[in-house]
Amino acid sequence: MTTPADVRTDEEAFAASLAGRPVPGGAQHLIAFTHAVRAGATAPGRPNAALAELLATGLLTDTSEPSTRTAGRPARASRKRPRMLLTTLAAKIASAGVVAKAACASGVVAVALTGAATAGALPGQDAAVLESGDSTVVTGTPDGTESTDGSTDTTTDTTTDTTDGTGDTPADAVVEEPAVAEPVVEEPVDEEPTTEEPVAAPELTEEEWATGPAEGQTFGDWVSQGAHNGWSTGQRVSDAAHQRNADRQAARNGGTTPAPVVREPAAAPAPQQPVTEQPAAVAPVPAPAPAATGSGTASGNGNGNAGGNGNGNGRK
Amino acid sequence: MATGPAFDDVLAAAQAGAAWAFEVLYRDLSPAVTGYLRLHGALDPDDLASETFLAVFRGLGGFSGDEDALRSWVFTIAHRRLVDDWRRRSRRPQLADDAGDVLPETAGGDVEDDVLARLGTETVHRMCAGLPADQRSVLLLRVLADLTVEQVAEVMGRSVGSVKALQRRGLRRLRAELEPAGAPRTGEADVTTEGTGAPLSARPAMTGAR
Repeated sequence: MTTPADVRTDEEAFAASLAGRPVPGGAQHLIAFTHAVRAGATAPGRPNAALAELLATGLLTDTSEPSTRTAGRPARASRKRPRMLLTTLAAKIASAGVVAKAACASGVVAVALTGAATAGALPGQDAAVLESGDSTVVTGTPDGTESTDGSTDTTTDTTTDTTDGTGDTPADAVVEEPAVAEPVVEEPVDEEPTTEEPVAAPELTEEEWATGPAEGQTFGDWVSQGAHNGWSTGQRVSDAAHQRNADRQAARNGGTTPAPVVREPAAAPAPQQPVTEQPAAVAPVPAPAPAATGSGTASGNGNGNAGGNGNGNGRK
Repeated sequence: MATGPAFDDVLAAAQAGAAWAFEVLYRDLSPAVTGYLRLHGALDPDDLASETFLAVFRGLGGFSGDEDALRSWVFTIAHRRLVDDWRRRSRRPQLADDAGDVLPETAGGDVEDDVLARLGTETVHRMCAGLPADQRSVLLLRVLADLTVEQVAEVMGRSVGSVKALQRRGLRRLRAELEPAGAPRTGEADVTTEGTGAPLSARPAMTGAR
């Protein structure tokens, strides 16, 4: 029998069971019902396809990278475009008059004949034309800096791809270019001999270096080489500079300055007195050979740019 | 909520779109939501629960609150999906048999054990089907979703007093159904006035209108 007291008891028992408190007697049926309901709702539902995909991939909120769907749209549009052009052309031809059709046909025949004749007459120039086209494309796309490397074709491809995809950020271009540099792996083979050169440099002894710049070596390189090895001092550099100036002066005056003779006093502790003496003694003998080296170093006296070009004064 | 990491972390990750956070929330809330929809007689409770969670995950960016608020919000969406499903199908839920004919008449000593023995999944379904939809919603939201009366009122779009009245009537009806065999059922007069004899019916009041 359900009385108002029973109803009140049920409510209290129901609230107690939900809160996990001890349930008063007389309301066990509600506890059983509650447990049975909860026991029947322990297994998760089977997600449908959309929810399963969402649970697997989540919601991609980052839009910096182009998605596959947005990247596919231009291709879809490009696929439709030829169809549209063909259908439009067919509709226009069908709606044209007889005279227009005849003119169109004659034009098509003329274009075909011209193309065939051109292809037959200039078979060997196609490659040249294509190459020149490539070169123009390469020179037109540098848009920055890095395409001056040997791999110009790959760089142009990547730049065009990124510009077609989305609004390209400079970060993307920077990231892609190291990947482009990967094909140029063969170049380090050429660099290895260059790395051997510094290895060969230490073979130069201090005495050899102190004789002065070698043939073909500039004075600056000679000084830096000595500084790198810890041999160059102010005194040595100054002596060598004086010696070089003396050689130049002698080359201008007599046209003969024996280089090997000059270097010997540079290595010696007393530099200047032999320098003045020995060129005078040796100068007449080896005239032609030092003249070649001397002319190469002393030919930089360009002072003849004084001729001012008077500009026009605007009269017709 | 039995989420492993802290709820705030899970919620933040889910709002950022992390799949693992969706998985955690789904694993925690899906059984109750699916059970709620199934005990309401939805024809395809799994699909309806999936639609519910799709709406939840897509709208989670604008949510703010604690665990109880999230649970209440999820069941609000589930309840609305259920009402929409009722409207769309325009037919009454299944399992409209009389529960009194199904409950076996077994004698026993302990009342709770006897009732537990008599209550199976199908029996629970039939008992829920014997309740009017609003009473069923109140009781299921209270039991499965662990919502307070105020939260249930918010989910159903009703007043707190109305929810309390619906709960009282539902409990009275359950007592009448679960009383041991042979016991007088004096409360049947009230039950018949509530349910008009139909075991399960999706009346217009089920549409969630205030």
